[in-house]
Amino acid sequence: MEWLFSRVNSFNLVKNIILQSLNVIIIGFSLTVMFYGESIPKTTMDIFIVLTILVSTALIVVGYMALNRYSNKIKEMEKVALEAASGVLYHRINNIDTTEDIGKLSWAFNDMLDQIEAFSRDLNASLKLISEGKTYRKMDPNGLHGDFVVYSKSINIALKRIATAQSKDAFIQDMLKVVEEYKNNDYRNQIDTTGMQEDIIGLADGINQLGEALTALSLENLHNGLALQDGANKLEHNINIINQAAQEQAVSLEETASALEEIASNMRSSNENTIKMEAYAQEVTSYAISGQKLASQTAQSMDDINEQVSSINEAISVIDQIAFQTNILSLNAAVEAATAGEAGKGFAVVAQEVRNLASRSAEAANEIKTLVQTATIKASDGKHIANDMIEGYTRLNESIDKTIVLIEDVTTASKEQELGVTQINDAVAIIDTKTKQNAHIAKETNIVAIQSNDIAQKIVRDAKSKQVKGKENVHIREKLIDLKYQGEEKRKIESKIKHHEPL
Amino acid sequence: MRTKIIPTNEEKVLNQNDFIVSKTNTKGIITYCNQIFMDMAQYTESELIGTNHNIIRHPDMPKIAFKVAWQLIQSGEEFFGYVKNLRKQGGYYWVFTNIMPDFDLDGKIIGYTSVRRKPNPDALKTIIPLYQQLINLEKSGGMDSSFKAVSDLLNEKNMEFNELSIALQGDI
Repeated sequence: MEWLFSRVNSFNLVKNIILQSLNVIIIGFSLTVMFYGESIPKTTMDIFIVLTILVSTALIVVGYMALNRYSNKIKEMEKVALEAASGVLYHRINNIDTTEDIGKLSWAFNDMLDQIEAFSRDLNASLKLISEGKTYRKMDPNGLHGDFVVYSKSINIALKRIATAQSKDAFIQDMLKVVEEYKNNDYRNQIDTTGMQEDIIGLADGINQLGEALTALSLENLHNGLALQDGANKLEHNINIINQAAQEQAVSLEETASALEEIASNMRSSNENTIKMEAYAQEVTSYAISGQKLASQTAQSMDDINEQVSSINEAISVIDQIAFQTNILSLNAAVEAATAGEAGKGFAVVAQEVRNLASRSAEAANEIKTLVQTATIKASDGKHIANDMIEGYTRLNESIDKTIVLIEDVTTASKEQELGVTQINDAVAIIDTKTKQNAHIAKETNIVAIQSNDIAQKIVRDAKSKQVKGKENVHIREKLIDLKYQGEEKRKIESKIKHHEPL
Repeated sequence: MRTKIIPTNEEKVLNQNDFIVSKTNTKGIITYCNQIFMDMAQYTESELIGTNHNIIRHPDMPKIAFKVAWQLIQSGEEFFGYVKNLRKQGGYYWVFTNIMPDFDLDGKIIGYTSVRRKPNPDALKTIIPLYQQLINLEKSGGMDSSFKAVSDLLNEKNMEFNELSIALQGDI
């Protein structure tokens, strides 16, 4: 029977068919009895009675089963209702016959549960997602009915409010995060105000402006620090060079001073020597003059000798003539002796001796003549020599005069040089003092440079420790002003320098 | 044994005040369906209960849609999507589907409940060509390529699948 019901899916249909059959049988039986009365055969009556009993029995069975089904459905509904009452909305009633009242009730029951369950699940899912921060989920009132639609719409308004609050909270958390980053010297991040609520945009803008200001400040600090560091480095380097140069200069100046001292002393001794030389030259001059005089006297003496020699020559000529005449006289005596014969023989010997004497006198005169001539030549030579000497002395004198002039010049020059050297010495002494001052200043400047460098390093370290956008782009140029550069930037920087603005 | 239904272009539009409710076990076998379901799908309760839910699957649906749905609900999440369903007489109807897993008291999934509403016609203007594109991709490159297309779309929109579905539905 259940099989049958499930096939036709209508308990009412079966029930009605049986009821109609019963009606047809009863009406047929009644009509038959009315028209035919006692004439109805017993068998026909029996058939009717049996049929009526059978159909009635069937009706009772079907009725019982219907009651049973009804009761089962009620039990099923009770079960589902109890589950629903205990909060389990999952269960439904199946195998519903819509032709039955209980079927309609079942569907109403199912539909009610569908409404409650769909609404509850929608609510639960929406709340679950929004509590996870996902705001896209909302209640869908389509398909829900009555109060559920109203509730859904109210809940959606509430969800929207929660979403707004969450969004605001998220924005505020973002802001706090950024502020915390700023606190930790990281100025890179800005707050994105896209989709931000009007009432907190002002706050975000304020924080962003703060970030920009901090960024600008940090970049400027970094830039200035780098520039200062660079300047300090260069200063230190240059000061070191100056320091070293000053030391080298001091050594050189010392060497120069001692060299100058030596030159000065050399000059002094040179001066003394030139004075001595001048004196010697004067002495030589006087000796030369006396030499000249002596040479003149020698020449005079030579002339005198020449005159005397002439006199000797004349005397010799006289001697020569005497010898000649003596010779002739001896000849005459010899002739006379020869004539006197034997008496005269002694005389002849005397005459001979006289003649020998005359010859020897002539020879002696000749020898003297030769000697005198030689003496004359020598005297002449002597005169020549004396004349040469005079001329030599004259030249010597001239030379000495020139030498004296030169010596005087040298002396003058030496004196001037000495003066110059003294001035140089003074200048060197001044330079030495200045150099020492410079060295001292350089030393002090070096300390300043080192301190500046320390400060610059601190500034740079501090500035670099800050996380700033564009930090890596902050460089100092080799030269702050590039003279070859003609672009706009140069003028900008120059203008900034001019107006004492930060670069 | 079901006879193959030949799809027609006859569309049945779901009433905005109604929703289709159905429940299945973990294997997709229908355990409950409401009267709207029967009305829309043109099946009786006894035809539907005990049958796999894919009885109403339309050939115009890309496989990836069901894959995404199963992935989500099997991991305990809900699914929102647009589904074209096949009626017994070959017609079709579009639904905006929400499927949720049913949990027992221990938190174990014991089945799934689906509530289907009328989809926003504007959403369908986007969905119909998208599904056609996905089906073409599946024909040429299998589900891997349609999965990639869906992933790319979601990445591009920076949305979750459900978020995109709900956004398309809007308020109707």
